[in-house]
Amino acid sequence: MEVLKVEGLCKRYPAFSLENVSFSMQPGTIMGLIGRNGAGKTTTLKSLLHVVHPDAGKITLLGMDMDTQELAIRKKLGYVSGTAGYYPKKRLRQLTDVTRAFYPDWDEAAYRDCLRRFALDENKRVSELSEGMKVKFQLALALSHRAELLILDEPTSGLDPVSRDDLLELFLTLSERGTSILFSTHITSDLEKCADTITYLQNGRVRLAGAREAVLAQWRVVTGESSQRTAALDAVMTGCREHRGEFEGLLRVQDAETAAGCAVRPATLEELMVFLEREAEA
Amino acid sequence: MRALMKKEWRLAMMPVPLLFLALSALVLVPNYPYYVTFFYTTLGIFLFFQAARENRDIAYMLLLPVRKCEMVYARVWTVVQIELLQLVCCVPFMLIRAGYGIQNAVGIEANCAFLGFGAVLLGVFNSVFLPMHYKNGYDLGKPFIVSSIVMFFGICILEVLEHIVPYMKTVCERYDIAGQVRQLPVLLGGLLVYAGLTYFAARRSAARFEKADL
Repeated sequence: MEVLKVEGLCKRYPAFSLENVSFSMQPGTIMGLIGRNGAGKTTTLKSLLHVVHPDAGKITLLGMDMDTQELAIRKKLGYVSGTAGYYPKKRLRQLTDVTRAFYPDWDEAAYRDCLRRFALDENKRVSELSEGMKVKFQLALALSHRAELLILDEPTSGLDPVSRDDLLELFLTLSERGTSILFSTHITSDLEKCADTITYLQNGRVRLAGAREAVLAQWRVVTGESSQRTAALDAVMTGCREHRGEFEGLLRVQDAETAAGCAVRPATLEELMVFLEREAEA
Repeated sequence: MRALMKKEWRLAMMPVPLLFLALSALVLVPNYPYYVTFFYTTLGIFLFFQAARENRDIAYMLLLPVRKCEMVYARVWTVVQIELLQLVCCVPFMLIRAGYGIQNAVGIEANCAFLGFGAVLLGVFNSVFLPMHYKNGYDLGKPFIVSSIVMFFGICILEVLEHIVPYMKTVCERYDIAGQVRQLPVLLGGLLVYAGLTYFAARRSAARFEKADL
């Protein structure tokens, strides 16, 4: 059973629309929701949480329908926002004390364990925490009510490389324990480290979706001297750029033979996104 | 709802609306438009909403297992508690004021009728301010200005009626105990109107907030 299933999600705003977004997640996996700023990542996550009302589409979370079983779903869900700094002048202890009251099955031992693991001091105020520690505090709250699915909106944005790596390690540990994690980011290198699957949104549409390795295996980056460009190569290349007598572009793996004589190598997620965005802009 | 109310009082509540309860003492001023007391109540409520917004209260609640309509009902119930506390806080000062033995030269007397009409004014404020704010859960300035204007006209109408309606002139202007007992129907009626207006304001606010994209 999928832990999350999104079918035909549509949301139209005057200047932007989410069109027919569909994807699904298996239990215990980590999915990266990627796309450039304004691609629709946050709108998609907000739709999952019923904060934004989709115009069309069906969302099933943990086998339940969000329209009819919102409360039951929310009890098993953890939402963490990388930009949330709510009640900055309150102490963590006060926030926890209030949050605890919402969960009858609150696991105090798990909460204490998270505090120790994340080196969180309950007597500190939210405003005294670094961005990374704020995310960790939200995670501590989510893990203490045994959230089965964590939805994280750009949790690593604003973090230094060490804190980011620390957090990604944590995601992997949680995933190994069976927690499913969906997180949106535009820092694709994060996903190289931990994502099992990716869903790439471009201008409100799913551009690519699937297992990370499978998605990457479909593409190659080709580089060479400008004189090596041919009409056949140009016809199959995506997002090509040419500077100082050299070019680079993206190829589907089946078209790699048209780049004879050029350097062809596997694409990273970042390259994939950059080239496909260039194509969309062209 | 119990957990949400705990959140309202432990996290969202700020000192100002509670300090404004002390302004019930304005009824001690011998000559004063006493309905202004309730304007301060609404100012305190406005500041309470503003503090909650700046503290990103809604962002916090998105983490919790609560529906959007429950967020609204908890907040409205908190507002009701503040308003009822304001009415109650007026009572001891009204009793002291009655001891002065002089009429208020600039408006209604501090009596049971005053509390009843004050409740109506607070209900009117709720019925304008709350649904306007919960259209998106963010706007506060416009809802407060509009509701304050409506409340101001409400005060003007009540003060004028005090001079032209015989019942109000003869019964609602008394501050002695026997006179105030005769005003009890006004107090009860005012509280009923308040309850009705606030109930519909809560329903409408919840429906609007449910539809809002945050």
